[in-house]
Amino acid sequence: MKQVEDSEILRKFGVEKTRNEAFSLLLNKYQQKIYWHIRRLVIDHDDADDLVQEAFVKVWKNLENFRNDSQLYTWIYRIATNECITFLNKKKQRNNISLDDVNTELSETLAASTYFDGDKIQRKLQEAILTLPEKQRIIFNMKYFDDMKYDEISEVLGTSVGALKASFHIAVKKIESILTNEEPEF
Amino acid sequence: MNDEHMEWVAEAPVLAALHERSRKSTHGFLVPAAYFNTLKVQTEAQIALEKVRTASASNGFSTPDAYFSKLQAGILAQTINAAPQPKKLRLWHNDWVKYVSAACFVLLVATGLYLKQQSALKADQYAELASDAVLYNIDESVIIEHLKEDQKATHTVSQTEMENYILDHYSANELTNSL
Repeated sequence: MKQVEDSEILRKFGVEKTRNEAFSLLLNKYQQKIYWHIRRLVIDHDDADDLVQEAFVKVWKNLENFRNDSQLYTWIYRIATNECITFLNKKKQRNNISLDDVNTELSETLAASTYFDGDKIQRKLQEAILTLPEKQRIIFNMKYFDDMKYDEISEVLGTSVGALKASFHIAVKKIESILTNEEPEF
Repeated sequence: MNDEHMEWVAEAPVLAALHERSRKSTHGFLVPAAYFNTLKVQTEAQIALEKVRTASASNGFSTPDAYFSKLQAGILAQTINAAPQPKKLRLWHNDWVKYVSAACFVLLVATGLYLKQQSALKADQYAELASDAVLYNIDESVIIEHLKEDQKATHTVSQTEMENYILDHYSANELTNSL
C-alpha cells in the first residue's frame, strides 16, 4: 500500500470536509510506529495502549496549529515521547520512588509480562536498556530500533546532534558490555 | 544513515548482530491478536469523544478569536504586572492614636459639663443681684408703709386679748404709776 505524503495529509486536514479522512490516513501511516516507540519505553502493553491513544488525541487537537517548522513525523514523535515521560514521572511520584527504581519496576514488568516472548538475548537486551538513564534510553531506542537520524532525534528531543551522538555511543558501550558478559545465543 | 550506523557497529558487534537479526521483528514484544486493527477504531472513538467533550464544555457558546490568551494577558496586567499602588497610611495605624483621641474626647466632655455648671451658678448669682438691685431702687417710705400694712394685716387682736397681755406683762404698781 502506497504511503501518503505528509503534505497531502496536512492539506486534507486543512479542509473541514476532508479532515476526518486526513486523520484516518495519518493513523494508518504512523500508529504502529508510534505504538512501538511508546511500548519500548513503558514496556507494558496496556500502558502503551492508553498512551498511544492519548498521544493521537493530542495530535488531533493540535494538528491545525502545526506550523511545518519540523517534519510531521518528528512532531508526532515528540508528542508521544512527552506522553511517555509524563507517564513515567507520574509513576515515580505516585510510588514515591526514584527514576532508577522506576526502571527496576519496568524490568519486573518485563519479566512478568505475557506479551513478551523474546529469547534470552532479546530479554537480556531489554533489561540492559532499562539500566540506562531515561533520556539516554529514549535516544538509544530511537536510534537503534527506529533507525532515526540524529537530526530527526534532535527535532524530537530538542537536544544537539553532538550531545545525542555522545549519549548514544555511551549507551552502546554500556549495553554491549552487559551483553558480552553472557555468551550470546543466536 | 549508513555512516551513522557504521559509527557504532564496530564498537558493539553483539549489539549490531542482534540489530540485523531482529530488523523486521518486534524484538520479542507481542501484542494481542488483531490489536492494530482495533487500535485505529479505538483512537477514532477517543477523538469522537473529545469532540463531544469540547462541544459540551462550551455549551454552544463561542468566544472571540484568541480570547483566552488576551484574557490571561489582561488578568496579569491587573495583578502581578500591575503598577504599584501608593501606600495608604491608615489614620488608626497605631494604638496610641486611639488612646489620645479617647482622652481628648473625655476632656472635651468634662470641660463642657464644667462650663455648663459654671454658667448655671452665674445665672443664680445674677438673679440674686437683680432682686437686690430692685429692692435698692424702691423708695424707703414705700417699704415702711408696706411693712406697716403687713403688720396691721397680720396683727388684728381683740380687746380681751390686749387686756390679758397688759395684765400678764405689767405689774399692778407699774400700771398705777403709769396712770
